[in-house]
Amino acid sequence: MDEAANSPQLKPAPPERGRPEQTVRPDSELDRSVAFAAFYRNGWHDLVAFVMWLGANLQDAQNIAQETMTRAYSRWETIDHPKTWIRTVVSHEYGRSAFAVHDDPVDELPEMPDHGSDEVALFGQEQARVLDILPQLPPRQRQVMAWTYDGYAPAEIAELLHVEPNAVRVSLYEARQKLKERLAEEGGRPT
Amino acid sequence: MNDPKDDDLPPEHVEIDAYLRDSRRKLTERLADERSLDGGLTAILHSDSSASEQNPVREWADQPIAVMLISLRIRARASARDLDLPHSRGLDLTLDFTPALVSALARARDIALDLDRARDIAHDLDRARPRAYDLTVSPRASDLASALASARELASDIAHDLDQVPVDASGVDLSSIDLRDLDALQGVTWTIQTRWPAGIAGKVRANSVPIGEGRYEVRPGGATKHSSTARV
Repeated sequence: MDEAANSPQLKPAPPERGRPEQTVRPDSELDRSVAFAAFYRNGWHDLVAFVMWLGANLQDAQNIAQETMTRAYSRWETIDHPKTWIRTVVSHEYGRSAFAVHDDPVDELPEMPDHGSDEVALFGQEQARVLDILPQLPPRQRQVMAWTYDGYAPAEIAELLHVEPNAVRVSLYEARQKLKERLAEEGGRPT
Repeated sequence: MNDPKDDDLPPEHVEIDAYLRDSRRKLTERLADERSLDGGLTAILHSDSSASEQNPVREWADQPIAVMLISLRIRARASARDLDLPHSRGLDLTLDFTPALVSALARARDIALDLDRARDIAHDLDRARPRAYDLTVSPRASDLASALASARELASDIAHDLDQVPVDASGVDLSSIDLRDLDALQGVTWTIQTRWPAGIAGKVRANSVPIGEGRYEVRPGGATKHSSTARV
């Protein structure tokens, strides 16, 4: 497999606001394991949620997250911004797992992934509604939503997805609007 | 999760934004209730360990036994140092440390497994590893401290036992070994035909004593006491 094609072409990660990422430069095998274990434990659930907001079902999200975490550990010393790196890779992997590879990760997302009714039931009524509606959004809107509600600003997302910041804001607006309308149609949440 | 950031949140989306933010947070919380992370994390640490750590026997299958033994000595010392890191650096014995301990134990066991003289230690490590796994389920700092101390002791035992295995490097080419000091050469016997890694031959000669029939024995620090260092 071509490594270059398999790895996201990240621009230098933008400085993150709020809680800054720590650059990890372990100087021993054990330090490396400990640092990665902390990253895994602190970030696993958010990462799975991120993939689910991209449109994956729970099982796929967990599989992709685990595979990508494994890759992250194998090259841990070379990753300066693990949180951003791993989200970029899972985005790529999620698209690749369901469809043919395209160069633009935004276009890789499946159009209409399925959420199993059983697993949706696991998350309660409110989660079920959002998880049902999210996959109905166009791929780019889903991607922008996943990044946004993971704490990334439009300018950061634009840089990561190689699009204009305004395009991110438009996608974000349209996605929120669609969710707002759909949720209102289904009742149960204020408009 | 960090708060979502949208510099231009329109007023009509304030409410849906808060709803989605809350929804996303609850999803993460629900996921946290669903699955323990220990299995996945340990699998990664182990898969990496087995991928990156070559099996000593396979790695040195075509090498003279002296090369294998000296290389194992070096690894055993590194393993003991590794296990001593949390102690010497004051790392917290948290849950996060446990998979790393399991991994370190696995590495130490791999080193020991294929040496007849070290089979007892490998057996001890086999017993220690499930104990460490158990700790990932219900960790207590005291248990971890105890497991770490045991692992450290076992790793030191391996290094000690390996030092007791006679190593005859007479005429053997040792130049491929990453040997930086004489520590792992304690008691190794050699001849003038033995080839050493670059830069260490002089040190070896200065720290060896003749034992007859053209053979010498490495005795770091001991040679000068007897004023009979190797003259080769």
